[in-house]
Amino acid sequence: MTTRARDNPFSTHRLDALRYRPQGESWEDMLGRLEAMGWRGSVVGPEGSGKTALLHDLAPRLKAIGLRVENLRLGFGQRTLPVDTLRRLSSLLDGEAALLLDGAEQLGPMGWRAVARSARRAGALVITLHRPGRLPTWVWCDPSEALFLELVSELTGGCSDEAEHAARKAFAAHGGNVRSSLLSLYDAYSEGRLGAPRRE
Amino acid sequence: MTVDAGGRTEFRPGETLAGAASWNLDTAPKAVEVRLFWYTEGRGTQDVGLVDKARFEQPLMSERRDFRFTLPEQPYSLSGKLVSVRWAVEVVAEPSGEAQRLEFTLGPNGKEILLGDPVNP
Repeated sequence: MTTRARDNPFSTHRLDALRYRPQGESWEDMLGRLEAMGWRGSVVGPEGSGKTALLHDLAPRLKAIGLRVENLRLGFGQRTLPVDTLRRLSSLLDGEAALLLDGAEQLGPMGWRAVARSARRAGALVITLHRPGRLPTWVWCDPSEALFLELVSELTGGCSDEAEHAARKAFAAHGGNVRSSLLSLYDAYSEGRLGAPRRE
Repeated sequence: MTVDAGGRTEFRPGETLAGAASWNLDTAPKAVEVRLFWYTEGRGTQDVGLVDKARFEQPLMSERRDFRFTLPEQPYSLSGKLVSVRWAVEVVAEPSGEAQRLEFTLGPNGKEILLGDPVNP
């Protein structure tokens, strides 16, 4: 019997719908810290640690305080932005606009300086990085195993012992990369190596 | 908001999907759109294809409008381990974004094709 992709609790559209969970503080506290940093900061963490989810959930909160939000996501190896994109950013990013730049570690030194210059008048600038630098660190994304199990439980409607064991193994095997770990659980589920999820 | 396709949820390629969208909103929308589309779910990045749409400009707060789409030859509704292709019609109010969706299947016999199923090897 085929396990239909649409029934797999770890399918990508379900992973993309997971929300960022602030660790040890509230969103209000986080925004207060960002304000104290002059609305400029970086979200630091390894691949698959929730940085993109955080930016996604930050956007409506910045809109709620009156900022227009511009999102920019850099692809692998994108060391600079095209000149016309930089010009467009310069004209868009006034004091009432925020730039959320995902993947700023891809930029080379000159590329980063050009983006920073284009965003110098922006009301807010938040970037994601794999390592600290470029902007003061606002949030460290360092997901724990407990958080991972919480996500798995949310996706499956409650972990069976078998699923929890598989989740712990996946998290360890993928070095804490939440997204890769969840996709490995997708494979396990589709191949019948995980029991049917326990629905509450 | 509601959307129906004459009580049907299974269609063959080339058939007409005729239905009605109803809404009862708190404020008059700028427009209401009924969209016919397919989308994928599975391990990879989600893909979406808008096939047709019917747009109603400046409608009343509460209304019922008929729509009619000719369904294309493909893609069929299908599911394997890695990807599912699904079909839906969705009614969306603008600018609120309030929406309602009706899922249906499109296939040679109106059913979803199960990849790897002995019936569909």
